[in-house]
Amino acid sequence: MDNKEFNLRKDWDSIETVASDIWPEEWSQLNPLEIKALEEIIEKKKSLNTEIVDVPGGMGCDFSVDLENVYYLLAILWYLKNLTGITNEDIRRKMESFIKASDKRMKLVYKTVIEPQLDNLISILKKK
Amino acid sequence: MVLYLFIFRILDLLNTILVICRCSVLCLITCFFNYTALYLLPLAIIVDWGIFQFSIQSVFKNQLLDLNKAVEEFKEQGIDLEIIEDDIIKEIDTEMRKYQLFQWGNRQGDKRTIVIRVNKLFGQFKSFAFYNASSFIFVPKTFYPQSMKDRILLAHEFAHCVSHDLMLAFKRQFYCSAIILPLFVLVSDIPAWMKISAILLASVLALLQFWPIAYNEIIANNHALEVVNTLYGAKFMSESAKYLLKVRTETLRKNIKDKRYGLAYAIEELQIEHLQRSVSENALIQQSSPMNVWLSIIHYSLFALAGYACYSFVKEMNVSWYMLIMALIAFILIYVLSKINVTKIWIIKNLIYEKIGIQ
Repeated sequence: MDNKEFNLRKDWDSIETVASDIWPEEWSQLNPLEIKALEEIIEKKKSLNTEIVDVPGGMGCDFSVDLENVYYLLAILWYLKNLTGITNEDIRRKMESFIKASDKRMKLVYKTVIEPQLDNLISILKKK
Repeated sequence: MVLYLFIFRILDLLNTILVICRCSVLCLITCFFNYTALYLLPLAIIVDWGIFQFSIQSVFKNQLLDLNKAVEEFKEQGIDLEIIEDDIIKEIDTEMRKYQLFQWGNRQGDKRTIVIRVNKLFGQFKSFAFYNASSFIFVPKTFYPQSMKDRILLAHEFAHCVSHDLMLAFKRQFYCSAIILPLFVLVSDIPAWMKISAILLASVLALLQFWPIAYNEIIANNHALEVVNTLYGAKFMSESAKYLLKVRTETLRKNIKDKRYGLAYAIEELQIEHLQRSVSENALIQQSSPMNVWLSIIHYSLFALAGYACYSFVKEMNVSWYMLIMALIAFILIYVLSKINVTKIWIIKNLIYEKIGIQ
């Protein structure tokens, strides 16, 4: 594993710890491979919707809502983690404008899970 | 409790006979009033047999065409299909086989359930179940058999593959009932109010024909939870039931959001109702049937009307050798046509197997 990749993994490890602490009931629904896949989608700035292929016919069980919830959670934490070298107030402002431009589901995740403990999350995730 | 279960099973069997052998049962009812109607029995049996054969064959064909469409789409996008074998998959498969309906379905060679990993599938499991050929379960690229969620979802799909595609044939049987039974009423000489009632009942029956599909899902949840309970214990089962309830509730919300209030909405709601009982009582809900109460009442009423119509229809009937000759010709025709159809279906099946990479 090269240095850049190692640092990226370290970032994700800390985000995963935070995510499992703040939303355990949703986090525990996904398996490690799904979490890894979601992280890759976020890293490569792809959209989750384009990754979910609709297969016609047959009988099926769709759990993409679980994926969506954790995807939004990780995406917000990833954005938060990358806001470095600025004050808490600036982070909050930038965060709010980022959420404003996002879709309804992401807004809901932010409002219910992230916002109540934003200051705490900033202090945990802020890069030294 | 055992007595209730026994009565439930007997009623279930009677209902099934009424759905599948509707013309023969109508003929036998008519025989009580006019014994000469017995000559119509061979024809009625042949009609029932023909309808059942074609229902099963058309379900098989439609499922195969759906599978073909899915495989074509995967191939077009350059998606890899990888057959996976794992100890957990094997133990779920072995346990689920205890619930296999109609072992005679294996006449056409080795019937298996094949689990295929699709590297583009994400967030869903898909199964294509065939009662008389190998079934397929497509799992997502992130499939991880060690997790509770993946095990219960896999078990649910395995449950579909132990012959429950026959419920799709059952749905078609209701559709046939909704056409055939009012036909008897319409061509006979009975009061107009009876004819109107028959048309109304047939319309409701046609609307309620989705119930076997809902039952299919409910029973798959039950079997999956039962298998999980046997293999991994009661705690695991309780967790799995909660998870299934959560997934179904979320899917229902999604349907509401997408304004899908039709069949998909009704099926989710019925599943949630049963899963909620499973979760609150921490037990499996055994007494669900391919015919629910409303469907039974409507079907019986339509049957009573058709029985009465049949009686009035054959009141003046005379014995005729033409009827037996007609029955024989009908049998030969249906038999030959069903054989041609089956051959075509098996050619399609072999082509799809080749595309997937199975001999």
